[in-house]
Amino acid sequence: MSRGIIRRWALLLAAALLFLPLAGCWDRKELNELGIIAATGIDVTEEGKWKISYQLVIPSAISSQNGFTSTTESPVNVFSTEGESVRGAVSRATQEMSRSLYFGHNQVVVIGERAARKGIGGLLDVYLRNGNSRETVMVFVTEGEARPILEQLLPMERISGNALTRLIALEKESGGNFRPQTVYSMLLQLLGPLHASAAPGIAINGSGEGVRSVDANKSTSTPSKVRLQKLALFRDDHMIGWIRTHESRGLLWLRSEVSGTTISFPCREGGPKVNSARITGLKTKMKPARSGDGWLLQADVEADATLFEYTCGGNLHDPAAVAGIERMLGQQVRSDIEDGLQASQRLKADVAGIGEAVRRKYPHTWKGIAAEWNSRFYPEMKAEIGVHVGLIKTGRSNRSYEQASEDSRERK
Amino acid sequence: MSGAQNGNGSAENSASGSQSHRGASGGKDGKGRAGSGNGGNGGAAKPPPLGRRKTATALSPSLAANAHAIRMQFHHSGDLRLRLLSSGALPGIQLAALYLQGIVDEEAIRKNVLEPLQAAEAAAPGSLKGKGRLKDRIEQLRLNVISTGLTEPVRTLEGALDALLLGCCLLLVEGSDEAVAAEAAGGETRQVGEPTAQTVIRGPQHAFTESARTNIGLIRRIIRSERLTVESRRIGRETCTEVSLLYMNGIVDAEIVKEARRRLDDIDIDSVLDSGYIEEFIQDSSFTPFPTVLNTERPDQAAAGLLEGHFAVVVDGSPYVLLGPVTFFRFFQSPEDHYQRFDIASFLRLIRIAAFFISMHLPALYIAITTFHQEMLPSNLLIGLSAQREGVPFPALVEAFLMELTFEVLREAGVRMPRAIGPAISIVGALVLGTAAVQAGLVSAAMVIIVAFTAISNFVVPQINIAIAARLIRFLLMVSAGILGFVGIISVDLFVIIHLAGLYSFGVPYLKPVAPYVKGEWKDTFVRAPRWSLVRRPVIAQKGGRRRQPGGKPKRQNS
Repeated sequence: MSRGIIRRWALLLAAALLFLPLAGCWDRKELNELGIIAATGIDVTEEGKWKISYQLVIPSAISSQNGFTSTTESPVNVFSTEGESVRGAVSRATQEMSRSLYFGHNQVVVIGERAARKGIGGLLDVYLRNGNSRETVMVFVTEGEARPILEQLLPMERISGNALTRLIALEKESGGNFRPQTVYSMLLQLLGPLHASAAPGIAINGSGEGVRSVDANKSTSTPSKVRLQKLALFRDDHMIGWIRTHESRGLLWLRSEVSGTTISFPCREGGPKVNSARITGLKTKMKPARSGDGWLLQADVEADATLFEYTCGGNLHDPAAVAGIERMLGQQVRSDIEDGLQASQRLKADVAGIGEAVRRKYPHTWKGIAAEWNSRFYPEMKAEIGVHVGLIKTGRSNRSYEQASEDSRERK
Repeated sequence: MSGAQNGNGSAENSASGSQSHRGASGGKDGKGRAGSGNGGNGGAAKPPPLGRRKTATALSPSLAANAHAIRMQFHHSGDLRLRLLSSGALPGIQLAALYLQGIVDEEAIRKNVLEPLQAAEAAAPGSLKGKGRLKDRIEQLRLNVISTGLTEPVRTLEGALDALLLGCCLLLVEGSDEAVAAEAAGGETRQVGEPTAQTVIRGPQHAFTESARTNIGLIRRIIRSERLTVESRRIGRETCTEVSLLYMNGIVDAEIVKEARRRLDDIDIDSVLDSGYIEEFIQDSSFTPFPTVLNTERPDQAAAGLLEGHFAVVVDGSPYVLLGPVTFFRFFQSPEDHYQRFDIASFLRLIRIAAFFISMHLPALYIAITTFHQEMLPSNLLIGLSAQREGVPFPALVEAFLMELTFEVLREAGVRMPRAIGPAISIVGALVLGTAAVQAGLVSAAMVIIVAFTAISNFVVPQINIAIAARLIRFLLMVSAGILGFVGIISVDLFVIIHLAGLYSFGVPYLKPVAPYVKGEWKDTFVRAPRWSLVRRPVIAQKGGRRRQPGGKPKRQNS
C-alpha cells in the first residue's frame, strides 16, 4: 500500500463526497409532502387580477389502507389564490397550504370565459417555461367562472379533474362532437400560420345547486351535472366567441378528426329526423382554389356508415333504398360542415385549418395573404362540399318494423 | 528424539523447499487407477507433494526405535494404534502395524494386512523361505501377501508420518529400515444424497458429498471417457487436503488449464476446509461482488461444465465443486434448462435474468420514483401511494433501508437458527415484514410489497453467489437513488457495467457472449435453443474441439 495509492483513493472519495452537495437532494419530495393537484381553474377577478383555483386531491379520502374508501370525507378540496400574474398567484398558495403544490399530475385546466377573453398568453407561457407543469393538460373553457366546475363532484368519480379527461376522451371516441385540446396542441395552432384555435366548452347543467358535497351521492340523482357543450374559438391569445356543438362537429369532420359519431337523418328531405346511423372512417380531402378575388374550398368527404335505427318504408334489399339513405346521410354531414364553416367564418377564426391547406398549395401567394387570412379572406371564402357516405352495414334486418308490420297485414 | 526435532523444525519452515521423495503419500493419489489391485505400481505414480516437510530422516533398523519416534511425533496421540504381530513368513521377526484410528478402515486392515500376514506361512511357504535378504523378503510380503489396493515401501520417518496421516496402515519390521505402507483409507463418510441448495425438478438427483473420491467417481460415472483427466495435489500445510483438477482433454483450452494449474500450485496456506478457500485463491478478482468461479453441488452440472470446456476443482471435504472459467450469464443457467423442453427453459431463463435485475433495482426504483419522479406514476397509483404514506414518519429511503435490513436480519437468522426454533422465525418474520408493520404506522404497505418482491426475486437466480452481488449492490443503488433519483441509479449502473466489462475469469471476459459479442453463442445465453441446434461448445472450449455433434434437426421432426 504505497502512499500514492492511498492518495488516489482519498481523492476519489473526496470527489464522490463532492457529489453530495451537488446532488439533487433539494428536489427530493416525499409523497406525503405533496399536495397533488388534479385540476386547475383560471379566472379573472373584477379588479383584473388572476385568480387561480386548485382542485387538491386528498389521498386518504380516496384510497384507504383497509381497502374501502371513505364516503364521508370529500375526496378533493378546492381553493383559490389571486395575484397579478399567473405564477404570482400560484406562489401565494404557500400562504394557505401546508404542502407544496404538485402540478405533475394536473390533467385539466379550466379557463373561465372572462379570463379566456382577456387572453391566455401568460398562462401558455407558464406551461412552456416551467418543467413542473405538463403541456399535455387538457384545456376547457367555461361560461362564467372556472371555480364552480372544479367544485362540482361527478357521479361515480372520486377525482373530478381526472374524470373530465375521461369524459372528453370518450366523447372523442364515441360522441364525435369534441376532441381533447391540450395546451401543447393549442400552442401549436396559435403559434402556427393560422393563429387560431379552439377549446371545448364545459358547463354545469341542471336545475339545482352545484354538487359540492359528498352527501349528494346519497341520492339517486344529482341536481346538476358537468357537461361538454359549445366550442370556444381563440384567435391569437384570446377567445373570440362560441360556436354550437353541431358546428363543432362539422369542423371536426372537415379536419378528419372524428373517429365515430352518431347522426340522425330524416326519411325524406325536410322530414323529422327519426333514423340514425353511425358514421365511421370519415376522411376529408380539402382542395382550396382561387376563385376570382377570393378563395374557394372544395372538400370531398368520404365516410362509412352503419345503420342503427330505421323507421322508413322500403326494403333495404333494394340498392336504390340504400342509395337514398346514403344521400340523406350525406346531406346531414354536409349541413353540419357548412354550419361549422359559416360559424367560424362569422367569428373570423380559421380553426378548421383551411389556411394551412392554402399555404401548402400556394406557398408564395400565402405570404401575401397570411396577415389578412383570418380577417378578410377566410370569412369571404366560398365552400363546395361534396359528401359521399357509403352505407356498409344495415344491421340484422332489412325492413323497418313499420314496413314489416304492413307487409304482414297485406299477407292476411 | 531427532525425529521430533525435525518435525518441530519443519513446521516453521517454508514449503518451497525441495520435495524429497516420500513414497507413502502416493497411497491416496494412486487409488483412481488402482483398480488392478496390483502392488507393482507403487513407484509409477508421482506422489502429490505434501509441501510441509523439508527434511528426510531415515528409519532405523530397530522396530522399537521407529515406533517410538513415530509416537513421539504424534505426541502419544490416543488415536495412533499399534499392534504387534508376528508372521509365519518372517519367523522370529517382530512386526508392528500402525494406523490412525478413524481415518482407516480397520476391517480392511484386518482382512488385507493382518490376516494374510498371520496366515502367510501356510499360504505360500515356498516363496518366502530361503535365505534372501530381509529387504527382499519384505518386498515379497508387500507384493504377494498384503492385499490392499496399493502398497509402497517407506524409507523415511517423514514418509511414515505422511502415510499414516493419509490413512495407510504402516507395517514396521524389526531389523529393517524400510517400512511398508498399505493403503487402507476409510472411516465414516456421508452417503450420496439429494442436492439441498441447487435443486431441480427434472434431472439427476445426486449431490456431491464431502469425499473427493466419491465426488470424482460421481463425475466419472457420468462422463465415461478416457479424456476426463484428474490431476491431484495436496494443499494446506496442516490439513494436507487433496485438491483435484478435472478437465476434458481435447475439449478444454490448454492455456486455461495451464493457468488453473499455475494458480493452484501457487497456493500456500495453512488449511483448506472447503472449496471456498481454494476459490478465493484462484479467482481473478477479489474486490468485486461478482463471483468469477462457479460452485455446484451437482455432479451433472459439473459434468456439463467439463463438457463445455470448463475445468472443475474437487476439494476433499467439500461437497461444492468449483467450475471455471465462468461468465456472467453462466450464473443464470440452471442445469434444468437442458433437461426441460427448450421453450419453457428459455422462458424461465429470461425470468431469472429479469428477476436478478429486479432484485437489484426495485427498492431503488421505488425510492427514486416516489421521491423525485412522481410524474412517472399513473395518477391513481400516485394517489394510492400517497395515501399509504400519510402518517409514515420516515422518508422513503429510510423506510426502504429499515425494511431491507429487517429482511436481511431475518434471512440470516433463518439460516443460523437451530432447526427446532425454525418455525418461530417465520411467524416473527411475517409480523415484522407484514401488515403488522403497516398497521403500526412504521412503513407503508407498498414498501412491504416492494421488499417482499425484491426478496423473492433474489432467490430466483439458481446460483446463490451471484444473487449476493445483487444483494450488495442493491444497497448502493438505494442510497444513490435516495440522493440523486434516476440519475443516481443510472450512475451506479454505469459503474457496475464498467466494472463487469473489466472482469475476467481465467482470461475469459466476464460478459463474454455479449461483450465481446460472440456469434452463435447466444443460442444458449438468454434463451436455450433446441438441443440439436447446439452443435458447438461455448467459445471458451479449445479451438478445433468445439463441435459437439454433427448437428441438424432430427429427420422425423417436421415444421
